[in-house]
Amino acid sequence: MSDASARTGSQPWLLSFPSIALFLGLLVVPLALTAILSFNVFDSMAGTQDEFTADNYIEILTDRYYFELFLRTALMSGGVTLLCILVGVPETIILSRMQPRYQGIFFVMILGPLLISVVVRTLGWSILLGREGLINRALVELGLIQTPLQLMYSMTGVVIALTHVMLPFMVIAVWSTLQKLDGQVADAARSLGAGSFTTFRRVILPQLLPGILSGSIIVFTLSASAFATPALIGGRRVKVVTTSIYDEFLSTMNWPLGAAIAILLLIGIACVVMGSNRIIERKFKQVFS
Amino acid sequence: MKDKGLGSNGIGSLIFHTLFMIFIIAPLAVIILVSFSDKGYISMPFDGVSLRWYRAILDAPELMNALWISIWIGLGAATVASLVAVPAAIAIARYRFAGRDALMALLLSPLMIPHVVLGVAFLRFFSLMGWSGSFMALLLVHALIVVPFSLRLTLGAIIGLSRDAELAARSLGASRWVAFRRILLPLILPGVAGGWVLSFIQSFDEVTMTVFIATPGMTTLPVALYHRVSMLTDPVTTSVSAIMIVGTMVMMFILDRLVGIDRVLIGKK
Amino acid sequence: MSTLTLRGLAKTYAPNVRAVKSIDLEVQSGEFVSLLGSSGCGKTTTLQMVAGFVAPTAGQVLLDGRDVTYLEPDKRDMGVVFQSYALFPHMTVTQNVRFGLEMRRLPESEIKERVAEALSMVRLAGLDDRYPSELSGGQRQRVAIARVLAIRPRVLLLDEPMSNLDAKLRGEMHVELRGLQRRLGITTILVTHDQVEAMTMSDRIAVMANGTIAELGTPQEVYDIPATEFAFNFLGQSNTITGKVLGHDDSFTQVRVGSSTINIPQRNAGLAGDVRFFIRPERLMLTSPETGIITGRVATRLFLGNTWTYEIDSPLGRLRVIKVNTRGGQPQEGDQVGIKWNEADMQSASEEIAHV
Repeated sequence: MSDASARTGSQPWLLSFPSIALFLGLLVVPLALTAILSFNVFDSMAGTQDEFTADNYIEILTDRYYFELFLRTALMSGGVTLLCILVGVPETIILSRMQPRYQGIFFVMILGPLLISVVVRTLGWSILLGREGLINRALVELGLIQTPLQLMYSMTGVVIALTHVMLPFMVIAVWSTLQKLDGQVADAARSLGAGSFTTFRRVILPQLLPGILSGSIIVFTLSASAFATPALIGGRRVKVVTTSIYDEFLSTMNWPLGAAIAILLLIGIACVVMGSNRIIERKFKQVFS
Repeated sequence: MKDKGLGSNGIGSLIFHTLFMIFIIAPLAVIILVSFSDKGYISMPFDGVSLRWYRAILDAPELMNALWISIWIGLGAATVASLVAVPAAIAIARYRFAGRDALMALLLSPLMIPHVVLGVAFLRFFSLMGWSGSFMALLLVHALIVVPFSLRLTLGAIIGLSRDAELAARSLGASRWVAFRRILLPLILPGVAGGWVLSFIQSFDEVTMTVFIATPGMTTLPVALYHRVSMLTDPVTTSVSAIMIVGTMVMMFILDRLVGIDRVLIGKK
Repeated sequence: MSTLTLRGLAKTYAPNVRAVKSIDLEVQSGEFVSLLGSSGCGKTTTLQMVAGFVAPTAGQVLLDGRDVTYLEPDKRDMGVVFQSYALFPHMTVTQNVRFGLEMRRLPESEIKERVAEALSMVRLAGLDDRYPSELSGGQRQRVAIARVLAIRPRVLLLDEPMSNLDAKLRGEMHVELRGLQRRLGITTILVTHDQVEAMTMSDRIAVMANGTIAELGTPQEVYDIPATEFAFNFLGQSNTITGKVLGHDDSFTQVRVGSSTINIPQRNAGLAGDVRFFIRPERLMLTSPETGIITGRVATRLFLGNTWTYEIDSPLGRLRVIKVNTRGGQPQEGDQVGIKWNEADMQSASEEIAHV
């Protein structure tokens, strides 16, 4: 049925030409220029030079400062991912047990924030997390703490706010795998003598794993590339890869070094995505195809 | 949803769910509350209710300016994105050709590449081309990063649509163009329109990439808001944010009418 | 009306995927021809090449002698009725039927007239402003037919149009559509996998297999005296018997099967050695053991209401016999029975190599 291509071989290319032109001119070329920039020599007096060197990469890969920077970013992203799993998976299961009417309402409430600017959501958290903020006041009132906690400009604060930003992605990923579950499989397990907890642990959870994994990849990579939330909640004290790229470009003006960090971030994220995809494929392909 | 053998929600589940929803709603609710404060600084709780911070927006010309730029960029970017993504979606959905998967991967790549990296790349590119501060340049890169959204929703509308109706139109005497305009386009219009609205929202919200390429005179609202929030805690930011929250809710309502909000957010067929 | 000629029509997808190998077919003006075959035989691809949806790799499509092989579908004046009906879901019944007329830029008065005419032809007046989603399957199909009849196509192409209807409605539509086609005298090609549909409606049937026409003739010809072994097995049921050719005389070929000698009508004087030949189960008759040409033992029998199907072990191998459910005793399992037949009903395939 899907022919018509034999006679009209050029048609798909005509149709996609505008998009390809846009992407070549405004995506491929700028990315290539950035890759080249990352090999340029930077002179603190004269700025970016036209000579080429690998020094930027050598500096990043050998300096302990950058090692800690990348490690901090990875730990932050890992923490956010873990929290999203611990909170998002149970919530999605709870959602799936609700009547469709309530499901719809709560879905819009949970996923809707995705469409609200991350700056706005982060502003909300900076109001809540401040020394005089709602959270500290509540904790003091309840007598749980004596002095307000330092949540703003701390890793804890960044992780909390980022978890809020990323949770919808985990819910979406787990929800789509939940949709494919066949309820009769669980019934079969029960009829074979498994209790409800055993059924969940041995039958349902393994089927959810691909969803949790793909949700984790999304959350991890988006956390590692998040900028506004770590910048506003973490400030100068909690520097991550993205905020240091920003500083190299707009404060220090060392563009080649900033470009090198950016390229490494891109490579790192590509490695995480491809690596996890390979694991998913190897482990689940034959079972869930 | 059909029974998935997950049992039903007990009291513990409901408590968990309530806390979860509070966690989700709290930062947004607190912004809207604080925006009505009569105090001169951000504080919670507060005593008197006032609209002074909404009036104050009018006295912040750089925010008003940024708001208009954001709106025009959003409108332009969503339109350009739709104009390039709809034909591409038709090519991908209707033809089998070498490079089809590669084309798809290319057009979806802005979703994979960290926006910081895109921001850096565009900053470098614009400074080499002398496009810094150009409205058109900003509009086009926004169009580029929202193409995936337009593409995905349009594809969702075309895939699953049988080609028979178009073929029937052709054999009844319609040219390719008439068959597209009178048959295919009306049938995929909800998806295309949904993609346009989602693209507008994504462009309007974008901050990470734009913060690199915005210039003092050519700044979008989220970037202006970002700079203001990072420098001083001033309640105008809350009133602007409150308006953005309400505006987004209106857009979500429109999206829901057009394609169903769950379809947009979950991306199911 | 128009004459449609297909000459060496072929379609090759990707290297070595030959959907249609080579089709030669001449459809006379006003004739109804069915392309009958199982899925994957190339019948739909053939129809799509005729309609102009698929470009042939080789060969020609001629319409009244004019080459239309590479003409755009909108320039062909062919009416296509799709399996899915392909109604325009965003248009009402009237708008659907008008579409082709609007494309022809006919004056409004003529459009109105023709729409009303087409809708009354398919007995669908009064549903003008309904949308396809508000119609039943049968009504949708009538709209699809009215839509193509309105443009008065030179050729009508039907792509499994009845396969989504239930059995009873399908039977009614066969009669109705055939009546319409006769009355309007439209040259028609029907693509179907349904033998009954092809037999009841067609002037001629082209049985397709592996991208070629295996058998072409009137329904009776292709059923009663097919040229190929494929057609024997594909159309209806058939008993296949294996034997050794002993010799030929003027009208018969003698074949040795076990200890019996069977006469089969001579269609191929070159036949020699081990051969297969065929007889339809309803052409075998059960009699008393004394009066049969051969005798056998009833192995199983199945009751189908109007008929009985017997499986009988005989010197010719296991034979299937279909017997009308008449009054009186029916042989039981284990009974000895005689089997007889009219010698003209034993057939060999004339064209294909019938050698084992």
